[in-house]
Amino acid sequence: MDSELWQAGQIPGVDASGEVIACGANVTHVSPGDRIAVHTTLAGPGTFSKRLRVPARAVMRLPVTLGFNDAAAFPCPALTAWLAIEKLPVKAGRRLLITGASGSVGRWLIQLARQRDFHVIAVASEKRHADLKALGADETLTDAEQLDAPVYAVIDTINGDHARKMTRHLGANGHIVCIQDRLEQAAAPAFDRAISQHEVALGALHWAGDDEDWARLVAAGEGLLEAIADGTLNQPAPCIESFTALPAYLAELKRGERRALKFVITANE
Amino acid sequence: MSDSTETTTPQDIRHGTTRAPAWAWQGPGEPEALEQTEVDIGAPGDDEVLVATRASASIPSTGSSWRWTASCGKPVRFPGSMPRVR
Repeated sequence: MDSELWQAGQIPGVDASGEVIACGANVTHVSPGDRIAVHTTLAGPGTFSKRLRVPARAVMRLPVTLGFNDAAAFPCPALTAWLAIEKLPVKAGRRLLITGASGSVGRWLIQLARQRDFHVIAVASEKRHADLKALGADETLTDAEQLDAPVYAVIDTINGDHARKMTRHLGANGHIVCIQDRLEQAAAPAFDRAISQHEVALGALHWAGDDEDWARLVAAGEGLLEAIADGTLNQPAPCIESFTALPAYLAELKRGERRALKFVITANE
Repeated sequence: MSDSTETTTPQDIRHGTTRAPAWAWQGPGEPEALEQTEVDIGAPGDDEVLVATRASASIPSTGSSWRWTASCGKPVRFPGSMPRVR
């Protein structure tokens, strides 16, 4: 996949918010002046730029009361979580284990799973438990080994090796959803527990999504943005830095001097 | 909400400016190696929109944005070295 390898001059960044200032001839659903958020492909120019040229089908219109910084923090974690939860057949009351639950994607997963009436079991460090229960977790664990019974599904946000270890907690006809990596081999032998394996990548739509795929994602995204604006769903406030501070901020992240679930570079300066 | 809902200036729209300041990646290295440059975004195609950026972000996880940025362009990144999105 050489086309995905960056060359010098590549603009990083995958999420953005902003205002439409011009539209192509075929664009009818947004107009100049509309406030939008968008997730961009890793293979093209990124969002650390004060102008973006993006596919119209990928833009999500913002509620009037939602600020640009909150909107820019939204696409990658929230849409990844939405794609992950959509992999699962909804069965109210079934036990769903979410690992890495205190991260940006994990927090969205908890809330989306509660909306679908799953019994949500969140795995995170103990200091996060009260926060995760406030988001909707029915149970909180510090380690999946504390489970006392099999679960219907696991959404693993850690990595492929961790996801593989989590499959031992699945019951018959269970589901494993990998946010990071994927399982390269079957999670169980044939004619065993019949586990379904799922992979999640926002990039899949950029590489292979059709108009219907994008319409579903954008409709879901706009609904979630409305839910943030009206307070129905919660998104942590991002850490905000100036456009000119990006390299210094990345250096601080690299040295572990800053912590934030999500950072946003504002272009207003 | 934690931030403003400032709008694009009429001047922005009137000029439909497509040249813009941007941060460009110069290959694996220290984050300070990002270079501020000016890029020509170009006019939108028939199915595209041109956007005045108000805020932008990379992947979510704490500290991982730099690790992810640093790994792009390395042959090891695909497959098996995935950006983290926790």
